[in-house]
Amino acid sequence: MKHTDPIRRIHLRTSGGIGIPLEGTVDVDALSPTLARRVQKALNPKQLARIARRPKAPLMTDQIAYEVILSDAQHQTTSYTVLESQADEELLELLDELMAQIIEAKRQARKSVKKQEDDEPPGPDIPPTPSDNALPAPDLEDDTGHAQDP
Amino acid sequence: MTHAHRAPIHCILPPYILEVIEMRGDEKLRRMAKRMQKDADAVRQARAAAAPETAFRGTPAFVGPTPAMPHREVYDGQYKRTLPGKLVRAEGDPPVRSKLVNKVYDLTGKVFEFYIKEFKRNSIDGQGMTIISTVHYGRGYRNAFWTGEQMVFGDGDNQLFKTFVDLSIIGHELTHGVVQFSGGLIYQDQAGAINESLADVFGVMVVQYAKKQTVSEASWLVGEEIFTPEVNGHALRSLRAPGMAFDDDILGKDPQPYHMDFYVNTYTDYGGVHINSGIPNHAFYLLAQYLGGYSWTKAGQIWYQAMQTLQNPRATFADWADTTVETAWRLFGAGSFEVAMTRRAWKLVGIHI
Repeated sequence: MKHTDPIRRIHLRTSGGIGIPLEGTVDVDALSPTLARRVQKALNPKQLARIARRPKAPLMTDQIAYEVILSDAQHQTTSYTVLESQADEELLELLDELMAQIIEAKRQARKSVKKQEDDEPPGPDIPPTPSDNALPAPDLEDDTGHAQDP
Repeated sequence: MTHAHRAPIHCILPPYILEVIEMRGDEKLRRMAKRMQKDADAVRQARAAAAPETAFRGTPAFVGPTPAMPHREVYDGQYKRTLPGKLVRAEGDPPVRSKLVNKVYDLTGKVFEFYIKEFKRNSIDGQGMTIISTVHYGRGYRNAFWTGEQMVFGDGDNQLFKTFVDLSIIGHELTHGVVQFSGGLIYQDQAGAINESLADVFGVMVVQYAKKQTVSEASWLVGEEIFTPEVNGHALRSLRAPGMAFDDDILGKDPQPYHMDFYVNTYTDYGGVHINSGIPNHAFYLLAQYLGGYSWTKAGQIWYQAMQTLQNPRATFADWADTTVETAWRLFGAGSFEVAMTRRAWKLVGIHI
């Protein structure tokens, strides 16, 4: 993927932090025009490669590592891992905003599945048959698996 | 006169030696190691190495005189990512309007009290270091971390995380500082997982201390307050049942193992530092259960003193387990129940000493 190619899709994966990894994909076309412009400006491969080369904060624990996988229209991909201590505020806010969109999409999907389950009409109310309440049938086989005489 | 060509040192010294020199050498050696480390970093970056390497510069803990008073400073990050932010409450100041600021002030005081009363440790560095915290860091920031100098807390996104200001999380982050000033542990692979485990162990102990809970009364959970109600989970991690803290269709399942048979080899998360920490976490839980009573009176003392004597920034789980058994031996005697139970706790998580 060339650094001049427009980004069509971003797969974002976080690890580290306090210990809960998150991941998901966003289509740039589905973003608001303002956010899409910010993405094209801030997430260009040349810039990410430069940021990933910056020194890391040696004593920082629980910092988030962002793995950013960019795809263009030809489905060519390129990936970069950027630590919080390497990135500037603008980039971190953008990555967190994209992750918020990913999480929100997953929440909506979860809600719609739950709604679907709640909306499903309950099955027919079948009254229990006398045999449902009966004691289990006596085992007519002995330990050897052979049927006993009743 | 001719000079034999000498290969630069960075060609023969492996990175971990440089990290250790940087962490523990004198000023001249540190500068040299830092320079060489920088060159080595550039080479590694060029190779696009995915796993980040970090180093810790530690100093042995100084046990200060008691009673000592904390020196706390709480800053407001004002939703930006510039640290430390605006000072809103310093030591001795009356409560401010922000409940969150007051909560951080009070809870950092509780962690300070725990360390000074139970371990005679005067703050993070053992020498009365100011405890600096920043709240309202970034917008909807889903994390808390230790920078090497201070603690930082995000507000959470209100989607999955409602807060990171939770006593066990504060205990966790502050303990990263204690580890750093107790000889340090490289934040990668097993050494990093020990670092994470110590942060969890002292994080849950400070909660138990604050609630005066015995080992059987305690929840043994880290981050009980952080999730929104929509998350299917009790907490971030469980020392009683690693791997069972949460199981959510968005967050996934708690990935922690409780035994070496399930050790996770991964390049992410600095080599699984938050994952494999489940193993030493569970060893501590088992030991505390065997010894009974309050976790900090025996099991906690063994872990704390072992942390002070480890002095091996690249320690493996086996090194750490050895050090805890030696420490139990030193504290309680060679044939003691405590030594036998420490050994047994490690055995049950698959580490034989």
